[in-house]
Amino acid sequence: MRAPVTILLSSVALAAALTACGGGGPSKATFVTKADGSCAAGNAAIAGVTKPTNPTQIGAGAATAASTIDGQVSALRALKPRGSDTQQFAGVVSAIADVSGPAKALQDAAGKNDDAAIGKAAVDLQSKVDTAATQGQAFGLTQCGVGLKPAVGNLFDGTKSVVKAGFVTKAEALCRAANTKINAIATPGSTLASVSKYFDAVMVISNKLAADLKALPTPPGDEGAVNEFNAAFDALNAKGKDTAAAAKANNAKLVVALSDELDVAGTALNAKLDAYGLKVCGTTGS
Amino acid sequence: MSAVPTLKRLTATGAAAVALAAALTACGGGVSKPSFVAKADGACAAGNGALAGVTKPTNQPELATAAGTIASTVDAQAAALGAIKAPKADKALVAGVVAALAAVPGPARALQEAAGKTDDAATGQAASDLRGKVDAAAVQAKAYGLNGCGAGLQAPIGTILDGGRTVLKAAFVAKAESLCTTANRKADALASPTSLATEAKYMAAYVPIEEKLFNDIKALPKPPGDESPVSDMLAAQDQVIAKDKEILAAAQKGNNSLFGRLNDEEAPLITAANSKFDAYGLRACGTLSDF
Repeated sequence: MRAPVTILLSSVALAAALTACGGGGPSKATFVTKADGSCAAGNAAIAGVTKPTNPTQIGAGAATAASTIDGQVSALRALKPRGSDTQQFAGVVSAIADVSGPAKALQDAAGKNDDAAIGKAAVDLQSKVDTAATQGQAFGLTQCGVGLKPAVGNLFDGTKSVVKAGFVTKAEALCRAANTKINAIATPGSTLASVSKYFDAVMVISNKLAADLKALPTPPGDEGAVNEFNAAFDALNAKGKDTAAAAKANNAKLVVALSDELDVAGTALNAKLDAYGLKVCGTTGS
Repeated sequence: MSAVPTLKRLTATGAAAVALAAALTACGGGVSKPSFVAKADGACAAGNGALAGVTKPTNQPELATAAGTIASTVDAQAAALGAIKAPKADKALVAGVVAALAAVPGPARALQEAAGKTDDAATGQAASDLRGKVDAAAVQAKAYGLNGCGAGLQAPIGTILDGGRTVLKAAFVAKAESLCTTANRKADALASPTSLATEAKYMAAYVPIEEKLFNDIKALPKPPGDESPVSDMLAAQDQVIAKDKEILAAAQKGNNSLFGRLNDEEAPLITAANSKFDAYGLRACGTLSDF
């Protein structure tokens, strides 16, 4: 009489196991292997894109990424996961499909030599790739979504370098022009009135330069460094404003104290600009 | 009554006995682990509370007093913990926790003594040792499942050590700034160069002042926890000194173009070094210095 009980128990265990596995369709491991297999070639194609060194190459690389990702998405949509994985897998495919949009935007922006749009599209691309990688990883995939992250590395790094080179050229030109204007201002004499006059003239140029630098499109991924030197420039200009006000108020003691503060703020700014490769804006131009 | 039910009952009784024995073995016999942990953490709570009540020190005498409190408090905690009967199977583990705890008062007393003598180097060393021992005690205690004993020391002693670090940093800054002010005066007293030949003379006098200054700063006891920024700024200055020596050599050889190029190369190095000294609070050694 024990045998039927054993059979019954085995049936229950089997049913439970089936429920746990999501029931029906291929096993998850088989499905993951199949899906990753369909993404591997595309990832390799994107990874094979040469690091771009100019907007034309960025456009070509981005076009390869967009069409490859579209192909991956079509292939993945043709696969049928187990019933219980359908929703999660659809999320993964959707996240991968979302990468295509910014890749096309990057292609478009590069075709127009639009640095601001290139930078924005590159940041969007990186963000969408990160999301796709996270979703793919959560599903247990190692190629689909996940493999895109290293694959777009060359494209992203190259784009960043191209936009940074444009940024540096434009910023250095702005700084050179501002330095020329500042050097043309008569050096202040020994009176506070002349110091006040000098600072009034310098601050107009310095404030404009800070605003012009902020208006340049930030190279993607360099937001932290650029924000840091922009903030240091604001701090320097604030000290300059205080110094000008102290000179106007005929407060010699404060002017002397603030000139030390101004020097320290100038060093902090120059160190950041030098480190970013902006020599004319930094120590050399000072 | 057949024999089967009796056998079943016997088996059941046997199984229960085995389960009970297993449970007792798991608990180590005598005291259970949860009960020991509760008792132990309870015994450490008052000491941790007392340490949490210690005001963050702002000078060496306050640091010495705080360190003395740490030593006596943790001594008492280790003694109290050692007196609590541990689960038989955990005796070695608990002994390890007690030993780790008992290792804390040593560096605390060393800190008390060093701070009492205003010996910055010994204070820094003892503070680092103390942090290490506290962390080790916390790791051992946490691994055993204790939250109050050992682990509960980290926050209050961390606050005291942070105060100590601020005190030592202030002493370091004061001494370094004083060294820099003196060296700046010496450099200011040098005759300003007007030609490449006088540049050579100037640099020949300037470089030794510069080298001595930064060797003296290197010899100062580093504030514990600030080893990295201090080493960083001194390394940046070493690059400036190396370039100054090249400039001196170029000037001595009368090589004007090399002299000019080296000066251009040096400018961003000076900015980088100065910005690090400024950021650490050493303006007389940074932007406002001659070096």
